[in-house]
Amino acid sequence: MNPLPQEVPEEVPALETELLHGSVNGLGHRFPEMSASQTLSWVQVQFLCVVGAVLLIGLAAVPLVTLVGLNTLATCLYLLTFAYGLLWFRAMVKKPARISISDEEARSVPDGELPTYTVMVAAYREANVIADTIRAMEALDYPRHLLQVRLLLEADDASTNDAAHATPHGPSLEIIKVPFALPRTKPKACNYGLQMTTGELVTVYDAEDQPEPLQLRRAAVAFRRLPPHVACLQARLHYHNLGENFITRSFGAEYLLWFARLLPALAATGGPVPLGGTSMHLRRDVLEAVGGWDAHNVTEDADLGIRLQRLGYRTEMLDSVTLEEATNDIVNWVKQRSRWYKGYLQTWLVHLRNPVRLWRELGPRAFVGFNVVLGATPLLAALNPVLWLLALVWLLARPEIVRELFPVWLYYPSMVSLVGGNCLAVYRTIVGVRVAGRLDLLGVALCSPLYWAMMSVAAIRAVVQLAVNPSHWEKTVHGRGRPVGEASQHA
Amino acid sequence: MPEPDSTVRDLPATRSRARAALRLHPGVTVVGPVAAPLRRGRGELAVVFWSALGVYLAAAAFLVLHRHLLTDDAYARVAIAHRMLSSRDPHLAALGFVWGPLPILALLPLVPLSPVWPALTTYGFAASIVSALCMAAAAREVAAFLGEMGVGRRGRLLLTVAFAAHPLVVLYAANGMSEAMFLLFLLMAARRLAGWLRTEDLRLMTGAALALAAAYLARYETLAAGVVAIGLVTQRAYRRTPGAGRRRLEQATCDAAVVGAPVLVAFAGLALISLVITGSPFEQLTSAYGNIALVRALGVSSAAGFQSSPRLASSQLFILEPFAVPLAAMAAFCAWRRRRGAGALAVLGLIGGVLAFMLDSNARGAIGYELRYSITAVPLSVLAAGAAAGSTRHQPPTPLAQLPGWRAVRRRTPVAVGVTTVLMVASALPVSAYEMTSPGLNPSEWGLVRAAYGAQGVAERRATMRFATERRIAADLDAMHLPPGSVLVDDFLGFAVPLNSRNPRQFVITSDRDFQAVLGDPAAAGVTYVLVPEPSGLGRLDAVNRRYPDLYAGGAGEATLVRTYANRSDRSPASWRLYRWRAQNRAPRSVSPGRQPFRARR
Repeated sequence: MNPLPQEVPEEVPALETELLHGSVNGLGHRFPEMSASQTLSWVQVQFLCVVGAVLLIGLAAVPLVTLVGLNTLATCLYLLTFAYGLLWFRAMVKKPARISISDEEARSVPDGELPTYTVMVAAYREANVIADTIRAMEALDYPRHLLQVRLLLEADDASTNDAAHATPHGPSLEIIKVPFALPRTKPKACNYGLQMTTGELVTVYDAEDQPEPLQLRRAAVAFRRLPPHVACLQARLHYHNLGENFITRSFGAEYLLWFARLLPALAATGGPVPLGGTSMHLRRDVLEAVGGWDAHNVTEDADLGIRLQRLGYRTEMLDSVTLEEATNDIVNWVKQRSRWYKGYLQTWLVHLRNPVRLWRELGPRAFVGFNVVLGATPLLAALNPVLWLLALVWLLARPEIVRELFPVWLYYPSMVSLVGGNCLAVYRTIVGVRVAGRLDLLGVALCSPLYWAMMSVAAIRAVVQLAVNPSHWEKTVHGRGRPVGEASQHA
Repeated sequence: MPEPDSTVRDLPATRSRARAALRLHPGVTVVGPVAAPLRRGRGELAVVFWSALGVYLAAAAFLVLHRHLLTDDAYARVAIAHRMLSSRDPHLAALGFVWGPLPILALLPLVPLSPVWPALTTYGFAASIVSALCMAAAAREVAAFLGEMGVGRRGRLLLTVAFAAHPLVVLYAANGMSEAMFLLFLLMAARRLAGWLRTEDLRLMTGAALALAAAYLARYETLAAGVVAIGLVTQRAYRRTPGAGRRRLEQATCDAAVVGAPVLVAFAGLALISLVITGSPFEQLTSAYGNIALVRALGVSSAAGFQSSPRLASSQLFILEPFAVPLAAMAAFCAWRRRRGAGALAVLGLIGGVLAFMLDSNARGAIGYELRYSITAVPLSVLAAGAAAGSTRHQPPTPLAQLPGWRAVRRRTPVAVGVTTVLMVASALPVSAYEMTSPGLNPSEWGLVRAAYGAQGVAERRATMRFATERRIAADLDAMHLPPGSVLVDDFLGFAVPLNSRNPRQFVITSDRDFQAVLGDPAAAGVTYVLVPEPSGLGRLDAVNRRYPDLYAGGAGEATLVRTYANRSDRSPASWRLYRWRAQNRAPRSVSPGRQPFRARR
């Protein structure tokens, strides 16, 4: 149970202290049961203690039975994920439903009818890309008097602040210095910025993002026409530096599949819709009503998506692209993926505090999807190495213990989930490659096991970090995809 | 703590209502899913399925339970499923790699129910249930496919009956062989491929790809269809993609990958697993029990010999579907000329491809002239007829329409074509029903077919006696209450013995991982009895016979004969012998009081 942050410098004015307090604890006051300020609720802790005790007693008294029991649980989880994966595949091969606003429609709306728009970019230690960020924001096609672009920089981040001030920009762009407070996360900064702005529509971008210029107009037009309970429009994210190396290619193929097919399939079949981290366009009134972002959650986007759905709102996909930069080195990639998995686990644990209520609010299919996508993904990724090791040991040495761990009635279902699950994952990637029409990514589909191994490393790190330091945000370094300071040219 | 905002919780938007509201809202362009394929007529398809299933299950019950006419391969598959679960050493690799795994895996849920209903395993009825289900689903696919090709209601009904009631189809729905499952998946692939050729819907392409993989896992000849499918898709995608040559090639390759990946992975995966476990990647061909060895063993001993005989192969095709060739030609014409050629193209490509491959192998004498290898001729003819009939119903206007009398001709053409094609296909039923009893044209099954018709001749009676000998052997061995690992038998020919035994763990069979070791020194392993078939024909391939060639004749100095079982059925081996293996350096055991004395039977 993390204590409320107290480290606020003395010289920060009272208003800012209040705003800071609100951005860290706003959700905690509004919907305490949905805040990740505590990873586990008291009930969950008790439950885990009971389970842990049963396990220990079992391992001491009847070790083989307990291990077979654990094995059965794991196999059931794998089979559930496989079954859900099949349904998801079926939904994914249908043409996805996207909200599409043509260029003419987007430009045809007169300025007087457009809403005010707040665009926030939270940046920390991004001195080498902040210039490009400002340029990308300046390139947005939206009437300047209705646009509020805010760069949210940490007050103690001197280098980024200096670089930002050095870059010329228009009057609609302002730099806000967010005072230091723990947890130092992007959602805390976004909440802070949210309280200091007034736009009717809100969106967030990352420092290396290059949104398509008409994106804001498209979102504005779409929101006007859609019913009020559609509170969020998620645009597609895409990488411009796909072809660099194995990591960018694997990552790119994954992203392509996710935003082109998997996420729209989730949105079309009733959820859950974990949002994308950037380019999610939101109605401010709804965003404030649901409590803003969760400052303690390191994947605040996924959490917001679930919370929106629980409270009765919908997310749809917007037919517009934001270009991002794929991590091209393995250390950075593992850190980023660890953060994602840690956040998924946080979100999963937080929303599972009252499973019955969650079931009622999400509905059966989305409830299962929630558990599979947010809970099973990191857990099974962490579990995979254990089972692969078992399989390898069995193949090489055939020790008796492995045979005992897999009685006949467990052996065949495990085989099914092993073969079926892996084949489905590879085939899904191939289909994603075909949808994008990028032949150069076909090779990574076949090398998927290597990518899965990386994911397992990240998942194990995530589980450890979740226990030790849940709200710690490991920074992803950007700007490696292109030379520092040069104008951005995207593929 | 302030109360949560109740207005937020009261929002009425549920998932389904919200989705509905979104669809109805005007002014928003939702780029949505492609219109679903024809949904009318779902009730009709359900009727087709359930009535076909009823007929096939009745036929299966009649054939298997009433007349005891069992088919070797089907019964052997039940035995494999049984040994994967109940043998002394149950493991996945007991599946073997000579046959496709899917028909056997489909039996795994049914075999454990045999304590409740023994006929599931002792008469192999589990396989018949699976084949009946698959064939009924195949009939449903045919009906759906005909509908998508534009055939009218009456034509659909008649052509579906022409498929579902075809004697060979009924036989293979009832006897538990894997052809039913193979036909089902092949038809599913062809139908979805035809749909993709028409609409470019990704759903259909992935459906076809997965169906092809499943068909490969049922029977290996799907590879021919897989190759054709990849070719068709690549060519069509190349033609359809706009832009430069390089872009078109890229897109075409991606499409080829989507359609080909599952079946290629199935192919490579099975080959790899087979390589790892047995040391050879293509067991169905190269193993000691595979096709090549089988044919050699059979060919030398049978009088007819297995020389290449294109005439026999084409005669077999003719009796199954007399008008297969003209119908295929009509379908080819449709594929070439008409707009609605997608169905014909897919049918000719996939089903025709498999048929051509099998006919070629058959004509070369490589596979043994069994009638079932040409079973794909039946759906090919039926669907080719449907393609021809369907395309004449929806003809585009032609300049010839100005000619006097043309309209009258045109109005009658669909009827004429429809009637002709239906007659062509329907003629197959009586022809094949009669000719399937001919020994020359149906060398492997004529006895069974005649027995099914009720004939009481010698050959027919022998067909009903299949596996009765093995049942007796199993009963005798069960009566001795032997401990596990007491009886050595190669289950290549002897599979029926463990299958009919209530104590399957008493057997050491080929799929047990220590079989070779036990075969080398049975006494050391505690084997008391060895069961060996007569070493003629297929019996020569038996592992025990190969290791101890003199065992059958005189015990090879290692064993004493307990008894000989004559096989009165029409399949190999002609007889079995049960030998008691000498104990390892011990005096011969006396019969313990707990065991029943071995009563000699006539």
